Amino acid sequence: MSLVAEAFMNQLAAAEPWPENAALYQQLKEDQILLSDNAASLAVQAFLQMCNLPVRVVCRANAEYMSPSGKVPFIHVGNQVVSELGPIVQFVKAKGHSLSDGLDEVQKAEMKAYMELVNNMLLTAELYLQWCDDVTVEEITHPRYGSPYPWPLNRILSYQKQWEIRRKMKAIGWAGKSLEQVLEDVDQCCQALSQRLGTQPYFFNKQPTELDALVFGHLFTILTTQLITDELSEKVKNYGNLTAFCRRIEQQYFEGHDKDGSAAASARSAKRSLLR
Amino acid sequence: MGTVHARSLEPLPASGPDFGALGEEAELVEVEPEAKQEILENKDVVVQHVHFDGLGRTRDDIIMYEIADVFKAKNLIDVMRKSHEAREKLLRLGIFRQVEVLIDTCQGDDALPNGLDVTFEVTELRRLTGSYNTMVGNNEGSMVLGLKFPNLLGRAEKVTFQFSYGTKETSYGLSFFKPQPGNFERNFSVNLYKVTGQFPWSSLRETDRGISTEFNFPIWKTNHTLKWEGVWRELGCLARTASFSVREESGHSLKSSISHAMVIDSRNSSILPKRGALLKINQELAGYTGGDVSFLKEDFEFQLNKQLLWDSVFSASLWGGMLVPIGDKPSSIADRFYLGGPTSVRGFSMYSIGPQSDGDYLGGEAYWAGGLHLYTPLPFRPGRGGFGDLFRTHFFLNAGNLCNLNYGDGPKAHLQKLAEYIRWSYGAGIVLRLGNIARLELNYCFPMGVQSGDRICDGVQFGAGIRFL
Repeated sequence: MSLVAEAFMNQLAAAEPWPENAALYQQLKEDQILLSDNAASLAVQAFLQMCNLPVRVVCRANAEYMSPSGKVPFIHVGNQVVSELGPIVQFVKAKGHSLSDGLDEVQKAEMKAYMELVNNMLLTAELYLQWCDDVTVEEITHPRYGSPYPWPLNRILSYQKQWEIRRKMKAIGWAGKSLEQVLEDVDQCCQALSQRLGTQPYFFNKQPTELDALVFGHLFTILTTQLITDELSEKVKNYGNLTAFCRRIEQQYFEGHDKDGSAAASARSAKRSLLR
Repeated sequence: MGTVHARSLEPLPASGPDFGALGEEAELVEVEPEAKQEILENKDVVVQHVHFDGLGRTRDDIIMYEIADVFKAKNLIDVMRKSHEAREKLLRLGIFRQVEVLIDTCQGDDALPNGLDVTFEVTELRRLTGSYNTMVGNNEGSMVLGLKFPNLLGRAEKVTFQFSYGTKETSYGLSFFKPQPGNFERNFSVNLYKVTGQFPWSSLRETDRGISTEFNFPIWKTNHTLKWEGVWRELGCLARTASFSVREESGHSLKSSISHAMVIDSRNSSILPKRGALLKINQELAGYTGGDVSFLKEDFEFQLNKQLLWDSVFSASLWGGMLVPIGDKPSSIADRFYLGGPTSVRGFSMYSIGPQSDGDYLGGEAYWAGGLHLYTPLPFRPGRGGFGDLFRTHFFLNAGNLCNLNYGDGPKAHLQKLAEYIRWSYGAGIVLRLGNIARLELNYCFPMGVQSGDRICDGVQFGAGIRFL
């Protein structure tokens, strides 16, 4: 379809109201999904909850390949398929729902900067830990990533993904980093977030924004995912206001819903509870 | 044909040919050649030696099998015929570029008076040959580059590497072939391949990487093939606008299947046959040797040809197939059947019949298709005896149906479902024969029985391929 036609279709879609049967697709919760994908999916779920838009979570083993950009999660709304938090925020804005309308230009720029920080630091650190730390790769990532597939396909696919991620790490200069350096970066990122959050309930005072959803997604997943060591979650636990922030959002937006929609259930299955 | 030399069996008398000495034989026939023929046929001979000139890396034992019959010949005509058959068999092995046969009387101390020596002069193929071809498939064309190692270990084994770049497909493959010595029709081969295909009618892209081993063997008049295949299939959407049903099929799967095929072919040619019949039955069972796709697939192809008066041929064909998924996983779009197009039910667009979603055709689990054709030479027979013989005019009636069956119901319900919503078409056109492998068709079609969702191509439709309904 040409660009003009696609823009026209998007305009038409924007005019339609949010349907009842909107679905969010991610990998299988119990056995397959990895830390970074779970964080991304949780961020989108939190965002949609904050906008008060109902969505049901559908788990498919091939969610990563179904996605138009190759990344999870993606939402299927009416006839449209949109993947990743950024485009989803734009899509939802076109339908008239937005969390960041109340912010002025300076604040919007600040929000974008912090979101970039999370994506460049936290997300990359998660990917590094999953795919470049040999112990984690052998014991957690390879078995989980290939679990829906029969031998030898499970091995082939996880090795293929590992090469891809390692190439990306080399390109951004993280290949030479050691685990300690990565954890240091995580600590610095958490420090920056903690300072910005301060004692406020949300990053931009009274109202949650997409930044809150993104930070919640990553931090909550880090805190509740059982890895080989606890070093990653300890870094986050050092900042009390961040853990309180995660608990607050979990209580406000995820508890009180049935198990399928609950972030707690999705992150908690086979993982530790936040409250320990 | 190669050359066969023969010398007379008896030395000519010193004073020149003396037909008087032949006695009564000379009076029986008036024409000289016939007299010679009589002598040759009646003379008993014994093949004492068979020589081979030009063997390099070829092993002796496989040659022995092919020429064993030559020793059994009893008279000269028999020797000539058996040598010719042996020559054909040697050429069929695919290891010689040229085979020439020399028949001579036996010389030497142990020579019998009616002893013969047969000498095969052969030239072996080089160790490595390259080739460049163009290929025509079903409505697609491609360039094929090949590298071949014929007769690798001396017993007609062959290793081939092929790279093909086409309008719809890019592929490469490595294959190893070994016939059974003495029994060329029995052979086995191992293939490794990677094939990518694009299917715009389903907005689907498919990449297959696989390995297969197959055994071919003839039983009486039929040819059987037993094959195990392991394929890693990767499906993806061809465009961002692919329907969600096709998007849901994206991803990776592993198919490990064993299949059996039987072919009986009594036609005189595979393209535009004049007489004979073809029956092909194929079954495939996937899932019991690994992989995550599990099904049983059956399909058959039947064709009957009969020559009528004035050089016209009447042909009837019937195709059908069924896919039964085993277990609770639904069937994959890559395994289902498709129908429609210039090589299948004419008058409809390529594979554009049957279940679809947003314009993407998903294929079906059961189908049947039939065709009745009348081929006649071109009106007024232009270019007769030459170029004009490659063309035929062609009147056809095609019909078919493709659907998904609910396997819980009985066979009666299945037949009923296949019989409702039949698509059919009729028309006429011109067929051009390309060698012995492919044909081109230009038809004017009238599609009928069109259901909502089918895409038709009424009017002029062009088709090229090797397998037509």
